[in-house]
Amino acid sequence: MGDALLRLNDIYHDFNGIHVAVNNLHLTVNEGEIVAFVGPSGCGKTTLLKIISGLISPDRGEVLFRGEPVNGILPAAAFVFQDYSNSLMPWRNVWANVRLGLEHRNYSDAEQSRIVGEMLELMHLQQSAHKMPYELSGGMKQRVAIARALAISPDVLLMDEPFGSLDEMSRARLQDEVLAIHNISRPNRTILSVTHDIDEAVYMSHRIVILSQRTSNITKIIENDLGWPRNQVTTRLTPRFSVLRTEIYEIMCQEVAA
Amino acid sequence: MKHSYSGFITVLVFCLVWELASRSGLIKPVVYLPPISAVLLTAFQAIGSGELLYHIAITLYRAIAGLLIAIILATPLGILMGFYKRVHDAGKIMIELLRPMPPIALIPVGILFLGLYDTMKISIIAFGCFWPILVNTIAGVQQISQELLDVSKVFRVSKMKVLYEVVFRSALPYILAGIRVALSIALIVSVAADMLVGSDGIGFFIVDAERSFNFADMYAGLVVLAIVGFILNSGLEYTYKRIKKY
Repeated sequence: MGDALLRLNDIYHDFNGIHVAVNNLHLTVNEGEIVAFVGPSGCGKTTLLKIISGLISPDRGEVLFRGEPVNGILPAAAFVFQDYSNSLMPWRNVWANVRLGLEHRNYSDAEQSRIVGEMLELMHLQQSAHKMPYELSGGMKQRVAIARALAISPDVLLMDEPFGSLDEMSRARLQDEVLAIHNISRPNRTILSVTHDIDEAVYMSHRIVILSQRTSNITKIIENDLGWPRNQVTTRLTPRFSVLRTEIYEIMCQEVAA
Repeated sequence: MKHSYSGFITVLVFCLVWELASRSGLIKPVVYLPPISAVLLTAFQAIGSGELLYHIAITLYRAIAGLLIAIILATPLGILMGFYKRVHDAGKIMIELLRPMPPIALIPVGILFLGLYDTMKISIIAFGCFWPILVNTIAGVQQISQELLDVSKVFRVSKMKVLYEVVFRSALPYILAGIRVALSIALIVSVAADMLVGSDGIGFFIVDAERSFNFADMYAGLVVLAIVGFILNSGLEYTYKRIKKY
């Protein structure tokens, strides 16, 4: 783990002056870290992620990337959207969807093809390269979305409930694939992921940020000291895993009760 | 394209009722409604002589030319109006004032400025076709998923490419629906314009046949018109289904 990669400085954002989504939030993310954001619906998780990516500019406060303030889209970040059924271009096949982020950059056609090929291999999509999105299952679509995000070799991977609507087995597989990608990249790729699945947050993170709907701010940050590499069966069986998930669960219950 | 047989049977029953109504002398005077067999025979003869084909070709040429001009003008404008709220606000009232105007009512103005011939007719047809395409394109652009626009921003797709690819492709089913409506308008206006002005086109053929008491010719013109409309619409429907697949 390295230096501060991202710094969120006193971020405030509301919608139409009524609904406060993020309120005076401070957070520092280190290079190579996996940070999971959990919290009840409406706590501003997605808004926060969109602010980091530059899709939303906050009403107040600033996002610093390697110490520099970010204006507009953060070029070093790639985004995996929640709604995979709407995030792929329906008229492009898998191959062309993965290429999307490379088309405007200064890549030659040969380089684009090489990178897309690598990404398809990484996400086990070679067989589906020429399929259209409507021919794919939810898990496959989200694979394509991840491949498209990784193709631009982002420093930061932002994921908004990426596995939320997948079945149990696809979710477990994709969690492990994302962890594998994190491990093989040097320096380790920084990943920020929003989820409402507490187990997923514990399984896939170095730190867990619990957000509150009431204050639109951070309730607590939990250092996740589970060992690496993680394993879907053995990691989840450790007592520490239970302790962490129970702790988060209780904090979130208090939030809802308050 | 597959049709069930029941659709054809309905058409046959219609023809049979027509034939019987005519031959039984139920409709008076009898000359006003020749039997459909005689109408079809006349139609084949008129097609064979090239006369009917000439008139239908003229009518179609003007209809399609007007439709194409409308597509070329209305689609980009609709995309801009759907995408940029300011353009939409600027044009909204003007559109609502012009849109309900029956194109035929503009023919006198058209004659003043554009004359009696093709330029005038094609312009009037383009005017009629313009509105349904424009309104549909605007609606199509406005329903684009925010998600795809966000994706385009994150992956730094250029603004031109967003308009040309994301916006246009998302709106395409709507644009085609607008073109379908515009196609019937093009035919209606083209035929009506022939009836009012000039000495060619299927509209003129029908009016001329009526004035000369060639009622079989008149009905033959109508039958051919119905078939042409059917073929054009089927073609568009086929395209529409292919594109809507995803």
